[in-house]
Amino acid sequence: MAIDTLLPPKTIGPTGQREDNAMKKIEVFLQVEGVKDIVLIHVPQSGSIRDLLHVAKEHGPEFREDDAIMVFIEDMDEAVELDVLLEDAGISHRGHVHVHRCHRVEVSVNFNGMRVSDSFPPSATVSRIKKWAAKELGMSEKDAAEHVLEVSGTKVSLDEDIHVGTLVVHPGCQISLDLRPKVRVEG
Amino acid sequence: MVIQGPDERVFLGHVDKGPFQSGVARGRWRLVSACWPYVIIAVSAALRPNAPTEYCLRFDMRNYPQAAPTARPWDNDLDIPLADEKRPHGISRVPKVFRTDWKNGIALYIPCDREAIDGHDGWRAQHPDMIWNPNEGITLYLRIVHELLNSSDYTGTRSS
Repeated sequence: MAIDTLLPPKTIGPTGQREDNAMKKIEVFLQVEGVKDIVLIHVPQSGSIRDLLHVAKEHGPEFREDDAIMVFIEDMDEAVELDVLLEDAGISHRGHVHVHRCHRVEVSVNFNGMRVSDSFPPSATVSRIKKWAAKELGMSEKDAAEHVLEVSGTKVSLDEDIHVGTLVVHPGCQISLDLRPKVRVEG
Repeated sequence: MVIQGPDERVFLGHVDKGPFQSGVARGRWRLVSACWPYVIIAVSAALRPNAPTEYCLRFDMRNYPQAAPTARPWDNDLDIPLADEKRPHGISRVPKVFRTDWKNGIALYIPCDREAIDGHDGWRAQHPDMIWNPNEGITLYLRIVHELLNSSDYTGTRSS
C-alpha cells in the first residue's frame, strides 16, 4: 500500500506545511509481547514513541498502568526512550518495532545434545537467533539454511521474521528452542 | 459494479494485514493481479545463475479461507502454466515440491495445497506446521514457498 493512500487531502492552513506534516500517518509493523501476529498500525509521522505505544496497546495483552512497557526497533539491543520522535528514533514508513515488558529474553537453543544460551532483546528476529546459534554450534551457513528453529516440545517451525518476544510473556522472559533439520515432503 | 463474494473479501482483507504486507515490505512476495478466483502472486527467489529472481504462482482461491488454495507456477508474460524447464529445481526438497510427475504438475506438492493434501492424511502428523490454517491464510503458503526458493536446496531452474 503506497503511503499516499494513507494521507488525508492536503489542506493549507495558517501553519502551512507544518500542519500538513502533522496529519501525515505512516505504517509501522508491530509485534507485541505474547502475540503471534504481525500487526500493521498507523501512527502520526511527526509523533513520538509514546504515541506509537498508545496505538500498540490496543493490539497487545492488557498491560497495567504501572507496567514498564518498552518499545524496541527490530534487532536493536536497547529500548527507545518514549519521548523521542519516531523520525529521530529511526522509525520510518514500514519500519518494524516491538513492544514488550521484558528488557531481555534468555534464549537457549538445543541441537544434537548440545545447548547454547544467550540473552536477546525481545525484538530479535528468529532469523538472527538462528544465525547466532548456528555459529555457536559450529554449523556452516549452508547447513544452517537447511535447519529450522522450533519451540522445544512442539513440531511447529518458527517463521524467521517473528520476534522472540512474541513467544514469551513477562515475567517469563526466557525460552528454550530446538534446532532441527528441515524435512522433505514425502508420500 | 463488481460484486465481491465473501471469499474474495476475506482474501483482500488478508492482503491488507500485517503478515502479508510485512512480506511485501521485506521483498518476499508481491501481489501481481487478481481475477477472482484466480490470483497471481510473485515470490522472490535467491540469486542463481540463469534463473529469475522471482517466480509467479497462479492460485485458485475459491472458498478462501475455509478451503485451502491450490497453486501452480505461472508464466505471467504468456499467461500460461510455466514451462517445465523454467520451473524451480534443487537438490532434494525443492524438486519434490515443484515436481511435474504428479498430477501433471498442476499443483505444488505441499501439505497446505488443496490438491496435494487430498489423499495424504499422514502429512497432518508429519508436517503440522504446513497444514492449511484459515486463520493464518495465504501467508502460510507463501512463507513455505519463499523458504524453499531461498534455501540452499534451491539451485535455479530445471534448465539452468
